[in-house]
Amino acid sequence: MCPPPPDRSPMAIIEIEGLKKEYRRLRGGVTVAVAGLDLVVPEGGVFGFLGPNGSGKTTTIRCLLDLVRPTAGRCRILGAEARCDLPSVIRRIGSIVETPALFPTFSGKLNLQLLGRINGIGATSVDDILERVGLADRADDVVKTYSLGMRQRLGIAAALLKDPELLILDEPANGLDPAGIKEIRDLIKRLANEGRTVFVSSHILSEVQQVCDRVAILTRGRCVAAGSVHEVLSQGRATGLFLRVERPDLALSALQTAGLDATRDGDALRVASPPSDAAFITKVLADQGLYLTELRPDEADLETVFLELTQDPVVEEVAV
Amino acid sequence: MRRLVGVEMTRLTARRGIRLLVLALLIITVVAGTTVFLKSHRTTPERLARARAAVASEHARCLSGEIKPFDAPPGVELDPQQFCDEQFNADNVRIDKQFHLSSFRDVVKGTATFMVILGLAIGATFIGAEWSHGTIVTLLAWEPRRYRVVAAKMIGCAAVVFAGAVVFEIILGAALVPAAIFRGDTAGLNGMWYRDVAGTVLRGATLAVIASMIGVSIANVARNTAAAIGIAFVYIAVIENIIRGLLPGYQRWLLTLNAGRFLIAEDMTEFPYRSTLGAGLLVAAYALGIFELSTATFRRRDIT
Repeated sequence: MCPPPPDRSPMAIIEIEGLKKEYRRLRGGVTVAVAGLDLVVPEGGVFGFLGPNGSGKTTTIRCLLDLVRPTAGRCRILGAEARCDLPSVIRRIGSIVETPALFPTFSGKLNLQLLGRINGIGATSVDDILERVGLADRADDVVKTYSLGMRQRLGIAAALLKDPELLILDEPANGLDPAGIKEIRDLIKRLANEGRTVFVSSHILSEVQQVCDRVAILTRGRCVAAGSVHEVLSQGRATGLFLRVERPDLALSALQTAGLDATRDGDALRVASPPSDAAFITKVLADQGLYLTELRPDEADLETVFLELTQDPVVEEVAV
Repeated sequence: MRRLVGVEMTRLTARRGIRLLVLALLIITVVAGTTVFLKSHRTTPERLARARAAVASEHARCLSGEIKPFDAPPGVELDPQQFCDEQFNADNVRIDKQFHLSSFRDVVKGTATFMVILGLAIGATFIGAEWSHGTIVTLLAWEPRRYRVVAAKMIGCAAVVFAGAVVFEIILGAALVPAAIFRGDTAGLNGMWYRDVAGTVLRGATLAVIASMIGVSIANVARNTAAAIGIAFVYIAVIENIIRGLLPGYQRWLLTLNAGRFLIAEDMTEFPYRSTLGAGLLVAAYALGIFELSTATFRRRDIT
């Protein structure tokens, strides 16, 4: 029996509360894959679901799609309880879980046609979607002759075939070459611009940073950071300002005299001050006749924050 | 649900293995028809006369003492005349090298066993392939109601296996007709015979469907085609034989004996326990039970 649904958060497309998933081991004991995860994914844009291998990303996605039964907690997707009401919203959800699995001895087109027919989607839509992911000229070839990138694109085509509001993509860039990764990135951007919500799990952080509006970082089955990319970046090492000036020694002295926490970094300087102090710094240096050649926020990248927040990627194991 | 069943039927019939199987069965029917046609010879008066003359010649050799009684018990003297009359009687010579279409019912019984084995293998491989390729996850992303997914697969598989078994028997029968018409005989093909053959074909196809249902069910739990076929083989070859040997009182409940009783549809001295309908219902109940257990497991299982 499903519990009565709580009030849905306005504009939340995915809500996860206290999600826990344990796997019993044959030799006794339990492996905790997800340990009390709370997460809200707002409607629209691209949401990055980040974490090292074994952090519980795929298990969470499997819980959302009712492929695995949570040990505790609840998942709501498009307002429906995943355990009970998923069939009522499944037509609005497109998904890839890990490697897209399609019949290797069928053509790409036949695979999509068979899936589409479940929802009464016609052959024209299949042709359109194959065109869209750049597989139209290989549509009649059997899938086992496809490269990994082509299979990935075929999986995305299958996910898009329903014209979904929500796309759940689990590691869509896995195994792709740089060109393939860029293709996927551009496709995700286009899909988000069309008004869809894209929930993308990945450990390729540079890619995520370029396409995501919001991210959540998962480690050992728990969410350790969530919010806009900027908010999450600010949870990393302290932000500051990075500047270049023609005479860095003099500039360093001037800034320290002005009470700022400035340090030398090669031929540049770092100042541990918020970006709002940029005007003050400019004035201090200008008063000394020193003029900036570069001034920008000294912000950690997502990879640095990710590594800081997810230092131990080993899945927590609890003996019983 | 209808769409889902249609999809599953297309998915099954589009498989390369199934297409190769259909081709192999067609080749088998052509070879069988051609072989029977070439081997079948009508009995002509000339052929009968030649055979009787040959027997009469042997009879003469026997009387002259060239051929002696070979199985006379020690110390027993046989009357040579009596012996030769019994062994070489030209009046009793019968030649029957022609194909009788009326024997097609026995052919159907034999091929039905083959269809049952194929039904089991088709059912097992149909769902085993979903697990081995991981496509079950893709499918559940389109239809998350697991009972519907398995039921649609079961119905689709059953429809294809039933139609396939019936069509195969019809084609096989058609392939044998030329041999009967041109080089054999078609005597005895009355209404009773047609009903009898149709009943055997339908019961054979039903058993093939039941076998496919069992194949789907076991493979869905084992998540593997080979494991499913192995389990079925171990049950039939080992467990049933153990029960027959050690617990003969339980024979009446054995799957294969009841299936055989249902297919043959005649009173069997070695299996007097159940009527044709009773045996068929018991076999169907077993298959439904296995299917329900398998589906209950599938509904609770984590798909990882």
